[in-house]
Amino acid sequence: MLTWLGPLLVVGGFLAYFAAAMNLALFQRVPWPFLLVMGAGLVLSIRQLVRGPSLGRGAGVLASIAFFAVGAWYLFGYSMYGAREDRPNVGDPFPPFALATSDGGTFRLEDGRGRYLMLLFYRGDW
Amino acid sequence: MAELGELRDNYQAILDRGVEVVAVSVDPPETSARLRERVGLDIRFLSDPEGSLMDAVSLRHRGGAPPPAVTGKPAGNPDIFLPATFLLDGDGVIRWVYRPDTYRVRATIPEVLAAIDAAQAGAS
Repeated sequence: MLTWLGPLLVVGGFLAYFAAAMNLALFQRVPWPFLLVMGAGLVLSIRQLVRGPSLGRGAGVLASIAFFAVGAWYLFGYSMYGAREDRPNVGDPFPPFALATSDGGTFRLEDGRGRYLMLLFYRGDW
Repeated sequence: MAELGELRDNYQAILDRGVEVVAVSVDPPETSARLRERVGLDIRFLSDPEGSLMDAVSLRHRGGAPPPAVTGKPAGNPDIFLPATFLLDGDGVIRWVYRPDTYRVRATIPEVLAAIDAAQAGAS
């Protein structure tokens, strides 16, 4: 029973992070609480194996390590951008544009002149 | 996407500061219109299906769009915008940029409000 609690915690911690990020607008760069749960699962697996080595517990440890590795890879590898330009930056003029609006019109950069304008770039509605 | 709900819940505080907000994605206008309705956010949603702005603002996420098998919608532009927030002053000059190094992160409302206040305090 305890053999599979470790891998379950690792997977559960990672899935809970996704649920929180998508539904609760949790935008942590390093999601510590969830990483802690995942880490606890890994530690539990290893502890079980050390206390009473068996093939099943060995498999539990391997599963925990594999799930933890996938989670860490996603968080700190896959979802990171890597090298990227930082232009335009503060002090630069925003590049001109003319884009269609959802109500059938067009919005140009000039239309925002004379007041502060915030542009929120988002990934789209999936 | 969750950032749009956050924005809706705090939109008045941004309006009170005299800031107009527009949201930009590669979604076609019809998709944005449905999203706007669903979120209940009274701002302009702009469509850049070709991604004409992506390179101009260094926000191209190559191949970032989920495959049609996942979304159940026809494939659009395979590249999507990396999430980011720009604040421009009345002359169209950038006063603040939030360009995170992972798409898991967005500017939070307190960060946005602080940036607006700082920009406006610096300008006056």
